[in-house]
Amino acid sequence: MACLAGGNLFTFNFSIAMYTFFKKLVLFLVIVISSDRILGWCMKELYFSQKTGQFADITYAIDSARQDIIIFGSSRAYHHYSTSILSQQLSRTCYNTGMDAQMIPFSCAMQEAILSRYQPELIIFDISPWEINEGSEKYEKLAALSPYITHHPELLKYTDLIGPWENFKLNSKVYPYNSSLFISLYNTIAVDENKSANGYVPLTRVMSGKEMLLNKVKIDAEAKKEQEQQKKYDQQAIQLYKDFLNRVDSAGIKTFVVISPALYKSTFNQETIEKLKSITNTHIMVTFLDFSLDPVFIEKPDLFSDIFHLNKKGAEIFTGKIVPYFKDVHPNRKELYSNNSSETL
Amino acid sequence: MLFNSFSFVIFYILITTAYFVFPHKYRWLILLSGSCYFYMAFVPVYILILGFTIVIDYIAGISIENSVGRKRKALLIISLVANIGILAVFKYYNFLNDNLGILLGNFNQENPIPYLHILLPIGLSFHTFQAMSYTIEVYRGNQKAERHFGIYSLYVMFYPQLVAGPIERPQNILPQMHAKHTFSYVNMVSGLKLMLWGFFKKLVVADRLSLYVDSVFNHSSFHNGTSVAIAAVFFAVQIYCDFSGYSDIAIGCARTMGFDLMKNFKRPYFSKSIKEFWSRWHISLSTWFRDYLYIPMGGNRVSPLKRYFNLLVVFLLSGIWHGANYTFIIWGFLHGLFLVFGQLLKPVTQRIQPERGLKKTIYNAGSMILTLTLVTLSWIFFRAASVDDALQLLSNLKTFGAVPFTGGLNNFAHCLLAIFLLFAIEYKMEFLPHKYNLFYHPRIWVRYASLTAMIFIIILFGVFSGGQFIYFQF
Repeated sequence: MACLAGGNLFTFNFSIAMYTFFKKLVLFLVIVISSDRILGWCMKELYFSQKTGQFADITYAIDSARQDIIIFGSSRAYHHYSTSILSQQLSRTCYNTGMDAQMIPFSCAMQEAILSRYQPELIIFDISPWEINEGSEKYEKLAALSPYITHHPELLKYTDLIGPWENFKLNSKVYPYNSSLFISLYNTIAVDENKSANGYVPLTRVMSGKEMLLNKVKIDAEAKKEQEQQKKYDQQAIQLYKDFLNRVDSAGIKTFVVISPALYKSTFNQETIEKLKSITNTHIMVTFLDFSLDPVFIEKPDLFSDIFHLNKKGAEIFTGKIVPYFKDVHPNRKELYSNNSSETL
Repeated sequence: MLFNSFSFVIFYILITTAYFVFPHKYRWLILLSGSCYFYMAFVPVYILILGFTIVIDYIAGISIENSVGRKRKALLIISLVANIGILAVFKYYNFLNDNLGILLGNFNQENPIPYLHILLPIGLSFHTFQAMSYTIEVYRGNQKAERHFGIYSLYVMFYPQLVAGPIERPQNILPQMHAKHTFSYVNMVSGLKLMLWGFFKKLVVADRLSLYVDSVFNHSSFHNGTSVAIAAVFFAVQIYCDFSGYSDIAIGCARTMGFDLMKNFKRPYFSKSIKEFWSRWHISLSTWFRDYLYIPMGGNRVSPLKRYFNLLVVFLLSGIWHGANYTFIIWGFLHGLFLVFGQLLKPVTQRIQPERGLKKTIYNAGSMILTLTLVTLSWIFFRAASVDDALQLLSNLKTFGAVPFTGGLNNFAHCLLAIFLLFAIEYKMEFLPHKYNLFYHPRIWVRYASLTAMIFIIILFGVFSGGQFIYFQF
């Protein structure tokens, strides 16, 4: 078979070998695409049948959560804010959308998905200083949103941040469930005793004093190493942070940006905290609370599960401590906050 | 441009299609333009360095061929100095300068030589060595000087092996660049299958393991001995899959266009000695050092003492080739030492080696485990950011047995699955080469089912965050 694509330059023989190859390639592609649809359907059924675990919590937060108080953030939000204490003491329903290994972009995506359905009365946004440092991990983790893009197109702009071809890859029906099979199977088959309480999962482990001292030396060494390097901020993450605050301002939702307690007293992050605070202070509905140097928690290993996370006892003390700040929640909060407030404990 | 990026998929389809659509006389131009684009996708300006070495070596090749006696040798030396000079400036200048600074600092003197703020061009050591092999072979009379500047440029820049090898010899690849390749169904299909296997190694194994490895190696002081041991084993598998995965993609990609690149890996972790390991690991580099350094130094024809010395020198240089850091130098030196010890112990090992039966199987398994252990220990130096970090990690091994860091059970489970799949497939390839060849099974449905399964294993379990290949930095 000969194919002439114009002039001598492009004359070439479409050989039998090519014909055979393309014929088999088409057949193979049909098999692959069909398999993708079938396997993708199975993965979707498995994924959305989970009743417990982080995936089920994301699904609930995106599709169903309608609580008065919504908490956003990383693992430090996930493990630091007891929803039952907040609910009891504020007499309002509460849901924690914090998620392990996630950072600002994920919080923004969750916020946008939730605000597209309803407006909570109060938002708590737990942020850690390192979330605005340079690093691509915070965007790679957005792949957790992939299973939802078919019914939440507003999330596409976030999955697009993962990489230039990410949304094209999502044409595959299996790809959104990449790396999720083991967790989905576990949560479907096994009985999960650690079911979250409205998105909150306390950590039960207690650090020892020895462990704290040992890690302090290491942390100091790492901090020294990092201090030697020039700190670079992720401008995209900063913009996402501003977008988050702009959205609550426009919606008139009272919001608290909180830096939760740290185990070690460190001044290393102060520059970043100041930067976050200065951004926050330009938003009328937002209050900035910094607990990073709170003496109640500094060097108290019995309140921590590891060097970054409070344990159950620590989380309950911390939640109890911040409740008074949220007490005056009411729908017309916007007028009360005519002066930007920023508080550091 | 990374092989494990979607941009590459588009690029590959366009270039391969154009390659077969255009007549033979224009194909070098298609490949050369594609290779320039491929290289410039990293740091565009560094194409000038490549251009410089190409011009130097092209002229040197023709001049060497036209010369005799001392002039011939002088021209070779000029070409080698130019190549090594570029390597020295871009790769070793700052390292040497830092060391000079430390040395002068000991005498309370300031180092007057400025630090160069330059990025290391991607794959510099690879294409420099490939270019050097050309002038050396022309000098030795094993290869005719290439008169076609475009073809010579393509020899250095051929995109599948431009940034991480295999480091080709001109005798193998230059004639192929002149030859007219017709579309071959067999080459196309086997090339694509090899690429698929390479993608599995890179995306499912290497990039998955890197998540754990990076967590441990980047925070050396935080991890106990068990975590360090796991990370070291994971890194051994990671670097093998990262690099051999790249080689498989490169070889497969070239094969689809009718080019036959040299084999770079032969399942090295089944080696029963360090010597065997080096005949299976990065074959194109180890044979380069053998042909252009070890044999000219006397090879095996010299006294044992001189031979041991030569081995140490070659492996030290191999370490330096990998990077301007003492970690690589120590890594190379360790391998040199292992080889010397291997040779010293040869009479003993030959005497105790059982000839057949179960004892031989046990002996071989023991030898493989010992070799793997030595290689894995040396990888700690290779992967660590500094010698201090490597020593810290080694000292952490004292706490072996403590509860290890998992880096998330989900990721750890994926790591174990990846290693299991890799081991199962490589074991079959090594010990049952003629059985269960699912990709080449006579029944079409078995072939299609296994290929489809491999694609979905990659989609479901692969890591798609576009991690760079480790060997690009060299």
